[in-house]
Parts: sequence; structure tokens; C-alpha cells
Amino acid sequence: MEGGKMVSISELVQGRRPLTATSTLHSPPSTSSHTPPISSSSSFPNSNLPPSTPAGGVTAPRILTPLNHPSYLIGTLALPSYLHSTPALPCCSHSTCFVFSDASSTVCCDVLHLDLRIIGNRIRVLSWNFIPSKCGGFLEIIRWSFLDSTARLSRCSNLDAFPLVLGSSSDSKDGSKGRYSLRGVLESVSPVSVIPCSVVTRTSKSGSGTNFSTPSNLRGFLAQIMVCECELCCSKEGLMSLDDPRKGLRGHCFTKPQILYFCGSGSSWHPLFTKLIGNVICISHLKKKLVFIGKEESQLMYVTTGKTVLRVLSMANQELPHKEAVIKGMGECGLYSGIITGIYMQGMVINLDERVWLLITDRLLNPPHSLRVGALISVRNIHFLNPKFSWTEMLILGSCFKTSIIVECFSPLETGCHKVSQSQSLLGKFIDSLAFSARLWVLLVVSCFRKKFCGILTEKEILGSKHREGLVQVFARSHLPSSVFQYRYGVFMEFCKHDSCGCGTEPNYDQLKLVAPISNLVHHCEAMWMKNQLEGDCETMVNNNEFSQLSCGGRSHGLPITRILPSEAIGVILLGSLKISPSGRLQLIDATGCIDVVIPDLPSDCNSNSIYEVNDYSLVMEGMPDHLDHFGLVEMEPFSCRSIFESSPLVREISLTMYVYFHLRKSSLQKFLVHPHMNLKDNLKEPEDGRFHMLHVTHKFPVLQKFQKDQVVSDGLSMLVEAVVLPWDLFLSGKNPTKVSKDQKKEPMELYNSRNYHEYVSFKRCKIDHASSRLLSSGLTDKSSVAGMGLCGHLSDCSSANKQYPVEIPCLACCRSGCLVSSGSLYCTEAALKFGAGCNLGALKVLLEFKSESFFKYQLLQIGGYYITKHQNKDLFCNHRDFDYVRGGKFLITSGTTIWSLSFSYDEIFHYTDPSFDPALVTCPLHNSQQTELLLQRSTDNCHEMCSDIHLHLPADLKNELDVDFTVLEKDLIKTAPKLEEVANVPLCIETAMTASMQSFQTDDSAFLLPEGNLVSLQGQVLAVHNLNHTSLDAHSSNENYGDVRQLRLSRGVTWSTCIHVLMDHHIVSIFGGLSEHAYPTGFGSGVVATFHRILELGGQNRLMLTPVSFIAINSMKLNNDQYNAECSNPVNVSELYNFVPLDAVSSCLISELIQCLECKPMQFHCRIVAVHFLVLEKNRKSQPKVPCRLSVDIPLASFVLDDGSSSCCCWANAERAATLLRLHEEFPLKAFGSSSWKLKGIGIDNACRTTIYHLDKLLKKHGRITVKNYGSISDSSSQDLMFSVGSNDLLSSSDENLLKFIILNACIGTFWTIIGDVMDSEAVGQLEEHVPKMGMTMHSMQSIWAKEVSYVNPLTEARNMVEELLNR
Amino acid sequence: MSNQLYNTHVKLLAFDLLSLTQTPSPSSSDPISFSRRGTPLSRAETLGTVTSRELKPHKFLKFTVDDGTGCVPCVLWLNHLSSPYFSRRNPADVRLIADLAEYQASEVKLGVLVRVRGRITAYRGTVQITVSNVIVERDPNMEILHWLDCIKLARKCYDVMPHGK
Repeated sequence: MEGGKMVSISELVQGRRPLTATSTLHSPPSTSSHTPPISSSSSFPNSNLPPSTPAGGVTAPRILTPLNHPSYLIGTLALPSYLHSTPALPCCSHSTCFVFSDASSTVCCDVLHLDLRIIGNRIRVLSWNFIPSKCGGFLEIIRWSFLDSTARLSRCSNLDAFPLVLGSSSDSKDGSKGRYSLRGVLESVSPVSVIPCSVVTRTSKSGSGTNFSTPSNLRGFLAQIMVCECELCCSKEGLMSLDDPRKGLRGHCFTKPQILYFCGSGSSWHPLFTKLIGNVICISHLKKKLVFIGKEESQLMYVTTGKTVLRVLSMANQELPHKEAVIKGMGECGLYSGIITGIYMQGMVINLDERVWLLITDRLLNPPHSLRVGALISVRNIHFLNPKFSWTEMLILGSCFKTSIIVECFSPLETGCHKVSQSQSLLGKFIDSLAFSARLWVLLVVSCFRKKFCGILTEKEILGSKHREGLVQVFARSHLPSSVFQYRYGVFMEFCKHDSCGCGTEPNYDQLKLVAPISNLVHHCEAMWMKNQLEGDCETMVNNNEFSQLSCGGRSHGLPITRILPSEAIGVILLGSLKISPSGRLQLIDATGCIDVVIPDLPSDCNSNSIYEVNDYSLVMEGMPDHLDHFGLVEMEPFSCRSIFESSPLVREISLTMYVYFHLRKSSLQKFLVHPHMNLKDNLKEPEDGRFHMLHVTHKFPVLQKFQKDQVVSDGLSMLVEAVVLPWDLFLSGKNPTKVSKDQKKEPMELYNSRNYHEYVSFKRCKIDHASSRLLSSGLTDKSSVAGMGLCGHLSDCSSANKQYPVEIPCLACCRSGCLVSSGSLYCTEAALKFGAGCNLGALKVLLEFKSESFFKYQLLQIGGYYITKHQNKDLFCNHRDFDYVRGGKFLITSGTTIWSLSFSYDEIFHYTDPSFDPALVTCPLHNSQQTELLLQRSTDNCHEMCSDIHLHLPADLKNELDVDFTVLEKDLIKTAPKLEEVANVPLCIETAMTASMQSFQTDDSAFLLPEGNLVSLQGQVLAVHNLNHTSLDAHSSNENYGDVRQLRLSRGVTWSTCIHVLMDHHIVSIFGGLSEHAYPTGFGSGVVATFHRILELGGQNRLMLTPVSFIAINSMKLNNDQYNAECSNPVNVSELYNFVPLDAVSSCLISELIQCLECKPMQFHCRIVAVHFLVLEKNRKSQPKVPCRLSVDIPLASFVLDDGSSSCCCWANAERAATLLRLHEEFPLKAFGSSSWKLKGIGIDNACRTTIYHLDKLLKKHGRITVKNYGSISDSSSQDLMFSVGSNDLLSSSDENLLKFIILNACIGTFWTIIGDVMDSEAVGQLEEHVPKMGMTMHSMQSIWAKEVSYVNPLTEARNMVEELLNR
Repeated sequence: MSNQLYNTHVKLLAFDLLSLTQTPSPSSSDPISFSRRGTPLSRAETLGTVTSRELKPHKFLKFTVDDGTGCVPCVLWLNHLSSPYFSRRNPADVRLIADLAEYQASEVKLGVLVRVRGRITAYRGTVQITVSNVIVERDPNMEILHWLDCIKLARKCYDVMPHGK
């Protein structure tokens, strides 16, 4: 009949190739009079083609392979359970598909534009797609024809009537069993469900009417039909007349919902009815039943019988055009048509048109096979929702039991079909119990977790099983509010009472946050950075470097920009484990990537086996402003659902400095989960009882650069910490303060009362020899127990008690967790006695070596901190004493060694009995909510006891003695800067690295072979970090303006690469260094306050050098994201930067010499301010968006009276120079303001450290412009008579006036200034005089200068210059 | 010309300052006038270590500043609120000055390096400084700079002044 080759199903199945046979679509249909409308995959307009990224795939899917010859299939299309003879299709166990079978095999199929007559008939399939699957395949019938003319006849006499059960006829004899009919619009169809029930059969043969009850599962589905309530329709006659299609449907109003239940064999009609939604149908021969759908809910419904007949009266699109509804996203139901652009999560999430997310989570919904990427589908009775997600906006389509999905056009692409798993895990049930947006959130969590913990946790651990909750569920449960959980009533209830079941309602809840894989987070932030850069969004980008004029040898440097994103702005939760990178940085990692983290209060029980959740954090990005490598970045949306669901990793080189910081105390960091694999013993963090050694960390060595290139070989990687073993051992008696532990009994100790210590101390002071000390103690000690003392190997050797006497100090130890409050004692060890008597304390200096598995412990230790570690037999800290003061003993800290941080306080501990005291609950005052300054290190001064693991309460009466002891120790041992050769004496690897580095410091000048100087530690604020290169260094060395050029003159091949400018006690020092970037701690950059340990002094001139043993620790960091904070919390004197102005070019001059000297070249003066003559303060109207940290105070003109000892002069200045001379950038001296200070509004703790300019700014905001004139003395600051006038109409209040007076007084009692200024000639003075008389001022007859540059005097430089000057004359 | 230094805070080393010529003056405000090589002086600045300290609360603080060449007695008045000298002035100003003086007095501790400016006065025949303001210098190099400054000023300015009559 038609050309082409016949293909059998088994051939297709065995071929296992996705195929399409659509060649007939392009030829006119030849024979079939009834041909389905041409609709095929190939009819997609190109613009509608799905995007290149398919479900779960990385590459674009191909178009289905067309057969190169015309071909067709011949077979029978049937409803699922019609073919009893065919074996059950394995992939469609709850089959809701049409099936197509020929003689060879049977496959599931779908057909476009269904004609009811096709069912059960042999057809010729002319155009089709075949998609292979595990269970054979799936046929998509695009175009077909009847095989022969006879088949076109209906099985029934009535052309349009189809009996639901094969072989039955509409001529019902038993009218009573199915006398009802329904006519109306089919509105919705429920999924097929199975009800466990027992069928009661009444045997009518016997007169008694015995009931038989047989258990069986009743399969069926519900349909809702909207019927007309007009008289005609309600009458039986009317219904009968409806059978005549010619009567038409016009004039009827289908508004009353009726429920139809297709049960038993009728359930196989499900695929057909799904396709009939929207059509007007008539179903006759129905029974009417009252069905209990809930415990107390019943529903009248029509139930199909064996004789039920279906008639299709009209096609929806012909007579009942559907309305285009406006999507509000409030949970309303509606129709949506779109092209599938992605299928994720095993078909539970479908992306339509790239912007809409269809959720099909309920396993009952069983979407058709043809739901493939590229297909055009229409979804009926779907809920539209706009979820409240913090990170993105989208439209969700939520499916419920009324939802039906119909494929309108098959996909032309070679994409597979998905089947929602029929077995439902706990997670599946959990998801179904949620509101729609929460469902999507959980699915995103699932996807994220699978990515994040891929290879770390098993799939089962993440997802859970049928009986055990997985990680996702635990996490989701802890984050979802109870309001998103919805009770599920079951199919019947939710279908029949749909609106009252709350389906589609979105409860009110706080925004859910995304749990992003770290790589996505990093890319998101980088994209935000780029976006801001491209948009030139300078408001949010903070140029935090006000020291832009700092230069290294005249070379300008680009200034990095810092941007801080709070977690609220990012909207995601961080989740991962903490690891120390091979370069020694603390990182939060997951399987997708890692990000540097800064945790100021890192707990010592932190370990890499726990997964931490961080909700409240800030992400800091730093980069150069011209950093615009935005290739492919801006387009990417790493937080879009698509990026989260897709498995393709985001591979991109990160070129920004990025790190996250958060505090433990703010409970932003929660230990979310401990890996199931981990050994719980590792987590044992409470020191119980026993003996502990006390350590004081004196230095941390940076990661050895030598090994950095070879990160794979972790064995070779180790970190070193220099510590002092204190001559005190701590004994804890465990949880019961009164109980003495068994261990202690085994190691009998002499328990001395505290009085003993006093005596000990006194004899120590007097340096009494052993004999007399024995005499002193003998009355108090029991010799026999001393003899048995087994402190450690060394001490047990002491055969007699008369050698040394341990001293006990009772104390109380509190754990950070608050769980343990233990009594204990500090014992002075034998070695300590020697030291106490004046021995060399340095003997106890040890090096602790940390291998990669214990890097965490390295990270926890801080220079200057005290720590305890448990004594073990053959303990290193004991045994090293056997070596008798061997210097530089090295001890390996293994993962088994626990180190607790320790803090002390002096209390009346014996009054202290409250075990409920929880030091962890005491909030640390350092962290205020504004968070203007981050405290990055555990402070040893302020609230160390709050951060330390163990806090020791020592008797207050021993405070002085112990203090002296520790002070002696620190003086003798810790604070001493070791000599260079001493430093080089650290283990071989450091030495090598050092030597190598030293060799590079060959100078041109043979007199300077190596840089010489002391190793010092200094703390200061980092103003700028400049990268140097060889050219700049050459330029530097040739710059003769530099005072100490010789020290800096370096040959080529020098390894200095960085110059760090640090502000320290009003001086700027430059620290040069060649450290690799790994040696800088995370977050290091301009703005931080850092301590540079063991850096080399390069002989004056404020120049220092980082050595390979130098260690940088960040103390605090100011965040400049907030304008307010930046303005007010930074009492840095801007004038400092002028220390770098090459002063040599300007000759110094006395004011008395000015009279003779009328040259126009700038001169340099060293002078003090005696009085303020005239001053105009204004609110700065010029906004400076790029420098938001500047205050809006402008000084158009000011004149000061200067005195340098030789004479006085009048110095005119404006703007920044005037502000500097007025000391506006310095901290406001609140104390000096005395009793008036309370009048400063808002003065409090927050205001305490504010700069003067902050207070002035507030005044100017009120008054706009203030003019100050001094009518009093110009030679005595306290005799000034200041008059004020303001720009506003208000009068200056007395408190404001006081403040202004004080600011001026404060300026007059400042220290020395170096002012570079031009001598003003008569013309310039004349110009000023033109202005000043208008202001009502008389010009003084003294000499005038115009200040060009102002800075504090550097006394050392100045003295040096002056000596030279004096010697030369 | 000879009065050029009269309102200037001259920087003289202690030995120099203490040996200024004192002449009784008819003026009531300054009963004694001071001069160095005939140049009249009224104000001075000195810098050194505080070596003694005597506080009479709300009256005065007497302290001596040792600059290495001698000890300069200084008096910082703390009686602003009770003294009739200040009664003519604005009470708010007086309070401000009084507070500032109290604060400065609290900063002057034994051993600290201070820079003192004030009027040259005499007490029982000894030159002293009646302090206008005193600040604590944190940088010890300031002392050396002060010495050099004194030498330089003496050489370039004070010693070359035309002698008064």
C-alpha cells in the first residue's frame, strides 16, 4: 500500500538505537482518509529548539538519527491492561501507557492527537520515534493510518461510543446497575492509585443473600467532570438527547463538578482520559455511590460499571477555547505549555523554557515516557508559585493529584526518558510532605549534597534509605520551619476536596537559603565582582587605601579594591569541613572546591572530620580594579537551579583573593555532622584528670617554602613551632573536684598547701642554696612520699627527697564547654626550681613539629599563648629533661597529642563552687554588632579566658608571686629577640632556606655582605602592600633621595618581592620581604593590624626585612564596607604618609630667617602651633563617591600661629593640611575634654575611639559652616578669645561651642610639626587680605607662609640632619 | 628687633634658662623681667624627664624637668576655678582650661619625657616656668632633637641677636 520497509518492534528493541522515521511526513498522505494532523518533531521552529545543555549532560544532545529509507510499523495500539496475552512491560509496572504490539514484541507508546477508534485496532505507523530503554524501548507515534478500511468501523454500533470493557455493549439490560449518565467537560484526572480493600460479593442465587468478602487491591482513578445544571441536562430525557451530537453543546453552562471513579478494568483508560482533559464527554451507564474518602468525609461519586460507555462530544480546542490566565504565582491552578529544556533529579524536576521549574515529586504522578528534553508539553491543573528564595527568583509549577501532563509534540532530540522511581524512600515521603517551594529547596539540597560530598560520603549516607534518614533529610529538617510541612490526605481526599486540603498554598516562612557547592559560591562571587566592575559600581567597591601616596622608589602601584559581601547578600549557607591546606591555610572544603577561611575563635576541638555549617559570615574579595577577566563569567549564574542541578563542574581559574570569615561565638558555625567514618576518640576533647605539661608558644615558623612546590609529598611537609615548656605541671583531679584520681594515686605527689609556695618564692628570691631550702621545707614535707614521687622519668631518678622540692598551687580548672569544672594543682617541677634560682631558662625551649595530619593543632597555637598537653608515659616533655637542657629539642606532635589552650585568672577560687558556671556563655565584649573591627586572633590580654579551652582560677593571694615568675620567664626567655645566628640554628631545612635566601643579598658595596641587625617583632597597621619587581628595585636603589640607600642597594637576582608599609606608633616602617604568598596569612592586606614576628632590622630608617623564619599574625582587621565605620574607627593620622615626601629637596629654615629670605622656593619648618588665628569649617558639598571613607568636613581657609623658638609666623593652610594641623584625624582625647565630655551626645563605648573629625562632622551637619576668629592672644593658647559664627540660623549651643574651643585648644597643645611651605610674598598676602577683612579680621604683621605639606616630625631623621648641619658649620 | 623673641617660646637648655638675668620690673603683671644677653624673654619651652612631682590638688602641680643640663622647676596651676585671675573670663572657657590642666597634670608622672611651654617666672629667686601646656613625648629621640634644636637656635638666633641696652 505504501512504500517503504516494514520494521518490526523486536528489530527496534534489539537495535537499541534511538531512531526516527519521519520521511513520510514530507509526502502527502496517500490513502488514509483519516490521518492525524501532521505534527511531528520536525515541525519545531528552530527558535524553539531546546538549548544546548540537556538534562544531566555536558554536551548538546544530537537530533535523533533518521532512518535513511521510508519505513513503517504495523501493530495494534491498546490500553495497558487490554493485552492480557502480552507479558507485563517491566518498565511500566503500574502501566499508564498505551502499548503497541506487533507479532514480534510489545513496547510502551504514546500517540499524538489521539483518535479513540485507534484503540484495539491494527494500524500502520508511518512516522515515529523510537527511544530505547532498559526494558526495551518506547515508541512515539507521530502519524499513522488504519491498516484496512474495515478497521475504521467502530466496535460499537454507535460510531462515537466506546465501551470501557471490551465486548460489552451499551445496550444495558441491567438498568439499575448503571442508570446514570454524566455529560460535561472533563476537567481533571487523578493518577491511578491502588486501594487495598475487600470486595463484598452478594450471591444472589441463594435466597439468604450470603456475603463473600475477598481481599483485593482496587485499582482506579478519579476524574472530575463539570456538568451543566440546566433543566434539560438534569432530566433523564435531556441526557438521552445529548447522545445526539447534533444537538450541540451551545447554551449549556458546565459549572457543577462531579466526581467519576474509574475502578477495576476501567482504570486502564487512564492514558486516554488524560488526553481527553478539556473535552466535553458523555459517560453513561454509571452507578452512583457515596464513598468515604476520609474518616468523616464522604463524597458522592459516579462509579463505572462493566457497561460504561464513553462518548466524546467535542474537542476542546474547537468549541471551548481556554482562557489565558495571568500567572500570579500565588499557588493558583492553571495550564502551562512549554518546551522541556532540562530534566533533573530522575525526572522530579523539569525545566521548561529555561525559566520555569516543574516539580513532579509524587511517585503516583508517573509522567509519560515521552517527557523528554526537547518535547513540547502542556501541563494542566498545575499550581503556579513564586518561591521566597533569597538567592534567586523563579516560577515553580507544583504538581498535585489533579495535574496531568500531556506531550503535545515529541522531542526531536536524542534524549532519554526518565521514570520516577516507584519505590519511595524516607526522603521521598519527606519531600512530598512539604510545600512546593520547600520541595524544590530540598531537591536542590540533595543535588548540592551529592556534589559536595561526592567521594566523601556514600550516596546512601546522603540520601538515606527506606528506613534510615540520610544527611539531606537531617539537614533539611533542621532548617525547614514547621509551617512548610503539610499533611498528606491521600489521592481521594486531595482530589475531591482539593481546595480544602491546602494544596498549593505557600505558608509564610523565612527565606530558605541555598547550600551552594563551594565552587559555585566562588564563581558567584567572582561574577558579582566582575559585574560591579563592569557597571562601575564604585559605591559598593571600597578603595580602602587612603595611603595611596605611599610609594616604593617612586613607582606607582595599583591599589587593590576590597569588597565585602555579607552572608545576607549572598543568601547561601556554607557547608563543608575544615582542612589545612598544604600551604598551611585554613580552608573550608567540599568535593567541589575550597575557600580560605578566617575564624578568629577557632576552637581547639575543631577537626577535619566534622562538617560545619556556616550561616553568618562575610566574604571578602580583593583584587585589582582593572581585573576584568570576565570571560564566560557574567553569563554564568552559579546559583541558578540549573547550575546546581547540572552535574557539569564549573572549571575556572580563580584570580581574585577571596576568603570567608566568621565567628564561632556568634554560633554561625555549627558542627553539623560528624563523619560516620570518624573515630570518635579523636573528638574526645575534655581533659579529664591527670597530669599536664604547660607550654608557652614563643614562635611559629611559617610553612617551609622548600616543600611548597611538592605538595603531593605530604610526608615531607611539616611545620614548626617554638615553645617553652614551663616549669609548672598542672594536675587535674577530674570531674569530681574532691576525688583524687587513680592516676594521681599511682603517682603520689606531695601535696603542699599554698603557704608553701610563699616560702618557696621567698627562698627563691633570696637564692638560698639547696641545703637551706631543705631546712625550710623539711618541717612541712613528708620525706617518704617525696621519695616516691614519680613525676617523670627524670624525677623518679631522684632517690632522695632532699634534692628538689615541688611546690603546689591549688587551682580550679574550667572547661570552655562548661562541662568540666575540676580542681587541680600546679606543681613546680624540678627543673623549674633550678630556673627559679636563676638558671638559664632557655634550656626548656623546644621545637614542636607538626606533620600534615596535625596541622590543625599548628593552626590553633598562637604566639604568646599558653597551652597544656597531657602527660604520657615516655612523654617527650618529660624525657627531654633527661637530655639535661639540650637546646632545640624537636618533638613531633602527632594526631594523638591533644593541646588545649590555657588562660589564667586570680580568684578566690575556694569560694567558687557553682558548677553550673559556663564560661562559654559569657559573651566577649570585643565583638560588637557593628563589627567594625574583626578580632582575628584570640587575644591574650582581653578575654582570653573566654576563648581558651581551659581556664585556671588561681588563688588571688599568689597573684604577685606568679606574676613575677611569668614576667621573669617572659623577660628572660620569650621576649628576647634572638640573634641572627641563633635563628639560623633552627633545624636543617630552615637553615638551608635561610642560607639560600641570604646568599642572594649580595650587595654592590662589599662592605655589606649580609643584612645585619636584630630580629624584632613589631605590631602595626598595614597601610599598603606593594609588589616589587627588579626594575622597581633598581629604581629604588638609584633613588638618592632615600636616606638610607646603602642598606637597600641590592644587586640583581634579589628575591625581595614585596614591600609592606606598616604604621606603627605614628611612624611608617617598610618591611621588605621575599616570602612566598603562602607565608602571608589569609586576609593579609592593607587595613589589617598585624604582628610581624622575628623580622630583621635593617639599621634605622624604619626599614625591616622579612626572613624565612618570620611569621605574620593578623591581630585585627578593619572592614571598610560601611562608610560610617570606616570614618570613625580609624584614628590614623593621614599626615603620616608625608614622611615619605623626599624632604632633602627642601631646605630647613628658622622662622626668624624668613625675614631675610624672600625666595620663592618652599622651605621646611619645625614648629609647634601656638594659637589658631582664623578658621573656616564647612560641610563638604563635593561628594566623593570613590572615597567613601572621607568625612564631609572641608576647611577652605585656616591660619595658625607657629612658633619654632626663633620667632613666630602665621601659617595659612586649607583642606587636608589644615585638618592635619587641627589634629582632626587623631583620636578625640576624651579624657582631656574632662567634665564636658558627657555633653558630647552619643559618647559611649562605641564613641570612645572616634576621631575628632567625627565630632566635627556632626557639628557641621547641623550648622553647615562655622567661622572661628581669635580676638585674644596669639602667643598663648590658653588666652585665646575665640568667637564663632555659624552658617545656619541656629545659634551655636554652648556645648557645641565648648567642643570647638576644645578642638582648637587641642590643636595648640600638639607636638612638633614639619611643615613645608612657601613664603608668602606681599602680593599673596594682599590677596588674602582682600578676603580676610571681609571676615572681620585684622591681619597680623607677622610673616606668612602657605603650608604645602604637613607631617609629624620624625625626630631621628631630623636629629641626624641637624647634627650634620651643626657639624658642617 | 630686640623684642622679636619676647613672645616666642625660646628653647633654652636648663643651665641657660636658669641663668637668665632677672630684673625687677615696674609692671604689675610681670614683677620680674627676664633677659638673655640683653634680649628680653618672656616665654620658654623645655623638654626633659620629670624628676620630681608635687601636687596640691586644685591648687597647682609643681614638677621639675631635667634636660640633662639642669633641672627646670615648673608650676602648672590648677586653681582656675577659684582664682580671681580667671574670674573675668568666660566661665565655660575657664572650665575647659581647668579640665585640660587637670588632664595634663595627670599625665605628668615621674620619669616621663615632657615638653613644657610657658611663661618664664621666678619663685624665690629661681627661674621657673609657669606652664601653659605640657605634653608627654613618647619618642626618646625627641630629647636629642631638643638638644640639637637648642644648640642650633642658640647659634643661629639667640647668640646673634643684637645686644640690648
